[in-house]
Amino acid sequence: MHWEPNRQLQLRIITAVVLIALLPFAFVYTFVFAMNTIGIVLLEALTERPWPGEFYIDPVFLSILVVGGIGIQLRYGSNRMLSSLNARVVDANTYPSLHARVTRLAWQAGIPAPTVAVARNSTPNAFAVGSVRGPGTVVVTTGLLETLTDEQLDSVLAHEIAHLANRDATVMTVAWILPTITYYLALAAGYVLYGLARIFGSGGVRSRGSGDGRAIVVAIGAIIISALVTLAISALFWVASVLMHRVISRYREYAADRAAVSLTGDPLALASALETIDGTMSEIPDADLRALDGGTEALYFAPLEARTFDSAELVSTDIFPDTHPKTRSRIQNLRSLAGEVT
Amino acid sequence: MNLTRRDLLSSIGVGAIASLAGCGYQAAGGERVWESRQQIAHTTTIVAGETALFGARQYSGRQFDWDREQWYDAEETVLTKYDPHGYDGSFARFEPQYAIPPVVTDSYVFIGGSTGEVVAVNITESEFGDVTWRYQTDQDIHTLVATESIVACYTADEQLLALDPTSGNERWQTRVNGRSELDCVAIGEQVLFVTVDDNTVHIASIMDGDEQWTAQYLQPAADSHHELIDVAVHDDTLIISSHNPDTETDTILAINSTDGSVRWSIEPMPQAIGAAPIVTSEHVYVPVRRGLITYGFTHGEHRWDLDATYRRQSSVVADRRGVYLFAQIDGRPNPRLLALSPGGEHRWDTYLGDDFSRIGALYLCGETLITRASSRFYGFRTTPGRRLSLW
Repeated sequence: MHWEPNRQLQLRIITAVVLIALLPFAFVYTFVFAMNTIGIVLLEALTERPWPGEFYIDPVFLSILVVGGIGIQLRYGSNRMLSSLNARVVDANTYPSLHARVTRLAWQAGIPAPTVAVARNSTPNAFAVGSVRGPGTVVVTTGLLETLTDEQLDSVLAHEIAHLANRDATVMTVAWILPTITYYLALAAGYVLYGLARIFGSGGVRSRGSGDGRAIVVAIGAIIISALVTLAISALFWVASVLMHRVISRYREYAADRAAVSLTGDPLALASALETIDGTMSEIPDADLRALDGGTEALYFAPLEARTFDSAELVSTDIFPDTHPKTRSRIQNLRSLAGEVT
Repeated sequence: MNLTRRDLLSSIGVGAIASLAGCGYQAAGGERVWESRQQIAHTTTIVAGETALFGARQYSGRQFDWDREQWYDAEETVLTKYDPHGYDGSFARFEPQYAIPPVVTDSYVFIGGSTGEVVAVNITESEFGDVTWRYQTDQDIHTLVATESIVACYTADEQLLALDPTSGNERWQTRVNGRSELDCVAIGEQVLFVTVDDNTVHIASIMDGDEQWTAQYLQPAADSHHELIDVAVHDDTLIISSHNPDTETDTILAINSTDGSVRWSIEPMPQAIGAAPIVTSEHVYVPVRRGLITYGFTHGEHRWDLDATYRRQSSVVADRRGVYLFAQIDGRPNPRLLALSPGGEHRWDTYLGDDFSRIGALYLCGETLITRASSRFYGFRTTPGRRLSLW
């Protein structure tokens, strides 16, 4: 097999880029709409006077904001991802064999050798973080280095190099900006509601003045409604953006598998790597699995095991479509490719 | 939570850029921008100037004199200034109590006192409230008018008296026989005194009070007479409106003040309600029973009528951007503040809120519409707020 661009993947990447650019606009204008309907009513209740004007955001300003946000994500997103997973960049002296493999495969794929990073985690996995100007970063876990054979490791690294060569790693990195923003907004709104619930639960608000307390009731009502609306809109767009993220993610894995095979010429090595990783997943300690479940699971070579932890915290794969195609299906595809290769 | 200097500066930067660059709240036309802090509006007589509104109150009671450190019985006028931004911290008190509505120019408010005294009170920023001069007349004051160049008052003994507005020195006085129902306006270099008892307009020179011309314009029926509604002045034109109670008709006359020639007249005015016309450089707006009728200022030609959708309108004011009035609009919450362009097109209308079930007159100060509702004054925007943009 030889390396060739995947037209279907390119089309999906273009679609994803368009959605990545449009979703923030839709999100902001939905918020502006909510402010001009529900927000104005709340303001009128709070201030006891009409607010006939309207909230607005200048489209040019919003465009600059979105482009700026994407730029910041491109510039700092990879660093943030690496630090969130406790991965550190390693040089050729520390991991000479790993560096040599990555450099060789990158040369084969026709891209500059990416930076190599290692995360201390017993879960065998790997992922690639894209960049616009730089060569990107390939991250592997110590568990991966300890678990796989040389051929399997080569095929996994080739898979991650393929993500960088296809540029889908860059798109995935940027696509995570809206889920991040909406997640933190929803979290903030949730904390406001939680705080209010705690205050009321403890009987913390008591009228001390001679007034009828209407202003306090209205203010608290306004805060609750604002928080609920913020939560609802943020959650809606978080779901939408995560869905988009995961749908792209599933297809790009097939494409990267095929590209990896074209680089190594050994589909069975990749299939066996998947089998090995899948087989060890059930033995991974909760702490290590949870450490990788930071919202970046769609980037990994192999999907994380959907597991309910002791503390009843959900792995996010439980409630959303899979980030990856079924591992069994990927293995079957690779075995079919092996038939073609031989 | 650790807030680094970098975080703080970047937050301030983002906030500043956001506020400057194009997001925020765009106020609508007619949106309330302020309300007076003091709840005394219901006790005041309103004097509207070009750039500020003044509320005059009569005060009777004991006051403490800090200079002499003793109490005294006060019969005073208390003057409060409301600028277009709603600041109402400037007030002045002085004797005597006003007897007729005060008048205002750019620099002074003139009071016709209950004791026949004319008082000039400085209203400039630096000397607000200082009594600049006092002039004692022999009789009660019936009418007081003022411009930047003259103060004229008509007294109970039928004397027309002209004073210098900055010094209070008497310039001249003349007797105006038999015109007890006199209205008086000052216009540029002349003083006009108008009476419609005999349907006549008289004009006197500002220099010496000598009558320049007299003209009779209204032709009443033998057994009827006209009552003066209002005399409005714009440029060199005098717009006189009068009402005939016998025929229940109004008349509007536009007279050239330099020679007394009639520019145009509307007689009888249709659907009249005896309201004073509002005059701008382009239009004469006349509130009528059905709404508003608009005429051209120069030729008096009919321009447009207010749509019948707008019922029970009141308190009309106008500027170069158009006309503003309170109106009830079919199918909308009432009451509403309505703005129309000079051509009669709808600009905006705004619900004022439940507090405004009983609205007083509307005034225009600079860019702000001001009205009195129960005990407060309220300021409203004449135009929508700016939408900041990078365009």
